[in-house]
Amino acid sequence: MSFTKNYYFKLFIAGMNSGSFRAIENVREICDTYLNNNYDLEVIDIYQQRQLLKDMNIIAVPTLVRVKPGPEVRIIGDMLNKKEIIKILEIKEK
Amino acid sequence: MPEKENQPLLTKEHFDLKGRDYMYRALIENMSEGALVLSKQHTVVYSNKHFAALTGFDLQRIIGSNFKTLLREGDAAAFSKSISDALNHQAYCQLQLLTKNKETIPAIASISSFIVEDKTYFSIIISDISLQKKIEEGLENQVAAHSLEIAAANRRLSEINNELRSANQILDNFVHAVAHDLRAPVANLKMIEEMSEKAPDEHKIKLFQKVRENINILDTTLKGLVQIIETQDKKEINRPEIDIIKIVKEVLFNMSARIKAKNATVTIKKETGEKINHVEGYIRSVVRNMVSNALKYSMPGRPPELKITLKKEKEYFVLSFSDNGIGIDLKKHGGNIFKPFQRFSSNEKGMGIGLHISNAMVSRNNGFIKVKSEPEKGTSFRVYLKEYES
Amino acid sequence: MNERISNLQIKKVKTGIEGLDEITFGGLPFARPTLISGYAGSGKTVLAIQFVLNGIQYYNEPGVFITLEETENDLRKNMASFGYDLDEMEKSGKLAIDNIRIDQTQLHKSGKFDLTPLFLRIEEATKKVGAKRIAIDTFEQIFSEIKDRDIFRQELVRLIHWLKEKELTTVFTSEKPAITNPKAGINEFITDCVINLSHSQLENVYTRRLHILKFRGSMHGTNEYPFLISSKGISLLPITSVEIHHVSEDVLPTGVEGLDEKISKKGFYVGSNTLISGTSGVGKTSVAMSVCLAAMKRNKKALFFTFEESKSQLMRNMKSLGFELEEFEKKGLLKIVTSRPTALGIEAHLVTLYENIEDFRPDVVALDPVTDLVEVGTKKEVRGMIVRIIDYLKNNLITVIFTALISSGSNSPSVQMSSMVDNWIKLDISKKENENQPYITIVKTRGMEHARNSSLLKFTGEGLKTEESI
Repeated sequence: MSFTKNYYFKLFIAGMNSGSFRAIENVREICDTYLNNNYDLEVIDIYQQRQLLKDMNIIAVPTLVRVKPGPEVRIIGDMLNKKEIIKILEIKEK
Repeated sequence: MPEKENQPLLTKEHFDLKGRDYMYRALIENMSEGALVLSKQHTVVYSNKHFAALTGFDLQRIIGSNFKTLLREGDAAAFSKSISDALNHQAYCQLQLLTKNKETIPAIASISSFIVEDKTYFSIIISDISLQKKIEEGLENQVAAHSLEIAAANRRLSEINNELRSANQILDNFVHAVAHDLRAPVANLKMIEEMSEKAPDEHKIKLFQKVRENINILDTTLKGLVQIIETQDKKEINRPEIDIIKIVKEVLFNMSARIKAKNATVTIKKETGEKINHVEGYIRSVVRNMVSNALKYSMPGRPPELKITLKKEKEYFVLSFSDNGIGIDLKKHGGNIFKPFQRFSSNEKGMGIGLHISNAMVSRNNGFIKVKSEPEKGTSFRVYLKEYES
Repeated sequence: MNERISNLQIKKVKTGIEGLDEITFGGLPFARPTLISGYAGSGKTVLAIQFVLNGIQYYNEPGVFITLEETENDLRKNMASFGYDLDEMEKSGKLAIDNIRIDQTQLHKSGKFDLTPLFLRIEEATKKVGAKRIAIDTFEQIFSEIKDRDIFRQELVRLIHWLKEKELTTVFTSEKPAITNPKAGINEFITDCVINLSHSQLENVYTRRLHILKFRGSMHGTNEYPFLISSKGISLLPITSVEIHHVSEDVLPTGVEGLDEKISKKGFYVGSNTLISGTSGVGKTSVAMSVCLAAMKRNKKALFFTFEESKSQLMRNMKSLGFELEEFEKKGLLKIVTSRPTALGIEAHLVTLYENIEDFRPDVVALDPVTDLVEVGTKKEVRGMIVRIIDYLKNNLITVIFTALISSGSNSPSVQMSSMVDNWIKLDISKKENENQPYITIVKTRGMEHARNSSLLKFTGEGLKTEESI
């Protein structure tokens, strides 16, 4: 992880299916549109990382965790509604 | 039964706790190729473990990133083209993948597209072709090496051609010289034969001597022929251990009549061991030739003095013959000495093949003959003999 | 006991919980979900986890407990107090506990999602021990977090389907009783068996009840059964069965001189129950104690429950009749238990009685007076309790003496029992003027004959005696 970016997200998905793809694409779109490369995105497949899902108490997928900036914010869902997402994440609209 | 609210129809797939993709997932995760799924915007929405291992990046970094960031810069355009092609048919693209240690891996991407819930995705199989590249390179090297070999072979062929040409030339010369050399004694013999018919008895003895002389000449000529053939012949030659000094002494003994007749002095000096693995016949020929020449080309009025020395110079046995004869103008004839059938002076009667044969014999085993000479002072022939491996 | 019946039913899994396996005729439905509903403190967590732990301890079935509420430490401590060693069970690879904490803070929703990660954790736990049983306490916690009814229901259906496939017998706990509140978190139609636990409070006394609301495909007891959370966990008290009880031909004399002669068998059958009714102070206690003494003299054990007097009071009073109770107490043949009715609820009394009986193993039990229990329960409840006692004791061939107070002016005790008991002895004061003499009348004896006339009851220094009145 680079420490220079202002935003650091972890996106938890479950396996390879259209729901996971949609979430990845949507998050990507939001980041590209509003954050201008000033972000780090990690996509974690819970099937591959069982311990992490326990440690971070992930109960639903997709879950987007905004790690930085703090405090931590979590959103569950396919992130289709971009306006809603940026509002929750407190990202300024350009 | 209590009334159920409107529920969406749940298919059997919905009940699979692991998600519908378990079998496929197992297949794709265990493949020995990298597998990716890209969205239409080229975002990696899925990558298998193999691809991550290939590039050295974490899986969670790869998924969610734009595929272009994983390629070497120059390849982005080619890739974009291939991926648009993939909308219509299977597309292939050679590209260089970037690795975590900032290296590149040559790879082939096999791309196809599919639609899920009205959205287009691309599935890509990435094959690492570094091994194939190495093999290609290896093959190219081999081809290059072979070209060199072929060139070398060609060169040898021309060399051989040259040799053949010169051999032909030699033969030609030889045939001419033999014909020429044979003619003289044969003509003499003819003449003698004619004369003998008319000659009185007291003259017949002289005539008989002449006959003998001419027969000797014929004999020597023929021997020379045989020697040449033997030299050119590639048959295996016996190389036992022989005593050079002994041979020298034997040759001198055989030629003692001529030596005496010329009032010549021959000295032998031995500065090294006389045993050598070589061809006896060759050494005998060479010695006879050298001695013969020394006797033949003596200064008129000066009794010939021949010094024979046996030395060792590095790996060579050096048998040198130094005389006080008429000498050779090396400036004039230097390049031709060992060519057959050459005459370096006007007054000799031999066949001129001796030196050529001697040289041929000696150089058969990488030996050579060096000449030093001063006209009217003398000549020194140094025969470098290389021992045959026993 | 009821195997004959349960064999015809669906396959069941024993809970190991006292009484519950009986009223469900074999336990909970195999590979199906059971819902235990009840408000906080109703005991649903204990029931759920006991189901799993008993599976490990008694039936060699490994199990998983998923808790979304308690922390693991609390759980361990609580269950240790019931005699379960959770650490040991985990170490032996039979128990897996997963404490899923739902972060209350900052969880937003946007769009469709599913609960796969949760299920993965559940699956992992079941795989770890090869579980056959699983309890999830409480599933609604998640619902309160995610709040999307459709997704919740869909995921629950998915989970249950998976559990059925894996043949895991499941217990879910839920706060709200389902049937009475259809809008509640877990819709009851997805569970095959619903049990509701309730507890009511009556002046500081708790009464807990278990009620099987639904049990698809099976017979089940339909009453509300009182239960207690004792030192061994949940126990439903032994209940009425429809079987024929054991009978004995042996007879226990009353110890009241002359009274036995009035009975054809010269005493009461062992294992029978006898009601001694009378007004206050008429001598019921003494008669009851006399029966006990007669037994003790034959080296039998007697357990005397007094709801009215203190032990010392009782012993002093009995001394005047020549009953040397200390002697028998020392010999271990007598145990006196004082129990203030208001100290416990009905069930508690019952359990106390039960525990004492199990402990002491008496041949005779006296409850004096049983009518005092009306203070803590309704008449119906007390009756119910008495029925249970009678049942239980009959099954164990223990002879029971109940004393019951009749308020002056009425003919029968406040609790209608006379029809239930085997034998009935009435004590009353003569209605003649100037006489304060108690009379003893045998009203009923089951299975034997008796004299119907009343006799005078004399209290002497050598015990009780009857005297025929003229």
